[in-house]
Amino acid sequence: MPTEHTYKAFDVDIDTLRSSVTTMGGLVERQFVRAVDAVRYGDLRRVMDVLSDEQTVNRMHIESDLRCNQVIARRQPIAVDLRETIAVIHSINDLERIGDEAKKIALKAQHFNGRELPVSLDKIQRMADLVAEMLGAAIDAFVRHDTAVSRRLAERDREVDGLRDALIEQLIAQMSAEPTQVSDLLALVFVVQSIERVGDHAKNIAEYVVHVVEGIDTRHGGDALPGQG
Amino acid sequence: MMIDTLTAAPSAALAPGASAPVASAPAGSASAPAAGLDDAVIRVRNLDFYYGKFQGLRKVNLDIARRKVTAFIGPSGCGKSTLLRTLNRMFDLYPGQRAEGEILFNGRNILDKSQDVNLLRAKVGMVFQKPTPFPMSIHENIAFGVRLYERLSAADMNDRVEWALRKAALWEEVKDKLQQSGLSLSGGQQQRLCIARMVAVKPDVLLLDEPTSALDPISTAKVEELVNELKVDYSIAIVTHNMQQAARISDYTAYMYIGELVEFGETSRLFIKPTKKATEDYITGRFG
Repeated sequence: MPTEHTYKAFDVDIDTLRSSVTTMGGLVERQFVRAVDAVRYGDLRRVMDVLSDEQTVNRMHIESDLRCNQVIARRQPIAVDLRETIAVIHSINDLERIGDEAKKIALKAQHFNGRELPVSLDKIQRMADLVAEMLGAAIDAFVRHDTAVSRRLAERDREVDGLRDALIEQLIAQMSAEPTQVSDLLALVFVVQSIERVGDHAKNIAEYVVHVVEGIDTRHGGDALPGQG
Repeated sequence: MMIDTLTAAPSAALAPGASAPVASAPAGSASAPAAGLDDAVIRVRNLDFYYGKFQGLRKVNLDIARRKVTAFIGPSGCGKSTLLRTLNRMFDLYPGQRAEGEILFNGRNILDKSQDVNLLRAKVGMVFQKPTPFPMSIHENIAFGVRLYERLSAADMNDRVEWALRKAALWEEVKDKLQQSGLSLSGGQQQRLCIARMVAVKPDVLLLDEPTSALDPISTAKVEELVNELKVDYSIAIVTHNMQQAARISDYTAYMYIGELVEFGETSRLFIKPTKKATEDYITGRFG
């Protein structure tokens, strides 16, 4: 962790930016878990909770973005402060998109309207649990400047991708077998896709932490900018 | 024509290996991290500097890139202005001050006693924090220095004055009042007049010691824009306390602390991810 600025107000600004990531992170994590629960248990109240939280997330996104702009304008951050500010800008974008994915999942629960689904949701739940864990780990890594999490999440993301591929293959096979269920099965494909996207966003956040701490851009496998760092 | 002994071939008296890359500096050298640049106009090697018994610089190794801007940053007393003033031996003016080591300007060690310091200062010009126009006309401020080194006809001198003032982006503002006193100009104009005076003698290197610290933001922007234009023709070293200014206008940055070069590197890298924590702490305002 960097030491304190001589000008203490700068520390307050940076802490405020960092806490906007943790607050937003906590909120979208709750949204995501509720959205998956809404699908699993056919609970429409949870759908409403997710949609309500989405407005809060959107507002926080705009507010945090504004704060980042203000810090850039007033403090002209450089080096680790610049990397931290840019990481916050990137992270809140990812978090806002996680909120969007949670909303998409919740709207699918609304589509199912509490009726029994044509497949067991155990595998989807397992995938969602993995992704929720990834998201929690990414936010935690952001708070603690823990660069080791990024590598673990990259492995976990590959695991999630494998689960997605297997689930989609299974759902498509079932569509052929039960054409009358295509609508619900297709909706579940979208649910699986959204869960997988949330994992991608969590992985992104852990990668920003590596850039903050080490100044190395590991996005896209770290091969996009040879010789960096 | 100006007698130009400074850009001549390196002196045969120079020790073998005198222009070896910085990386070959002795082990333990405080400033060994700076890698030798391929195209450097000045190579500083193992430079020690003393104010009497006080050592102001310790084993500094640094290259000034040709036709680039190099910024020296660091807290007050770190030696950045001292280093700048060694590059044209300005310290010679003060008794008790001495430099040891080598400063190779186009391959020749300017610390050699045989070095003609007047010629050196024509080739390595300097502008100071406070504008220092001579108490004479704008035209004479330029012509005075030129006459020290060259004999020009009146017409050629007028051309040179105009050329220098255009180089310093001042011509349009003063062309109708060349006979007015240089002191009648604003602070920003006076500083650009000093830059014009410096370039009028056709130097290779421009040394700028906090050239905008006494100027308002618009004048500062004009000087910064001028530096950006001048680097097409000149190699520039600038001392600045303004971190954003170093980030804006320099190609290379040297961070100094207590007489030692802590880190040297490309500005675009150093201001995003410095190698040393000490550098990061300083440029982000976490110093002391």
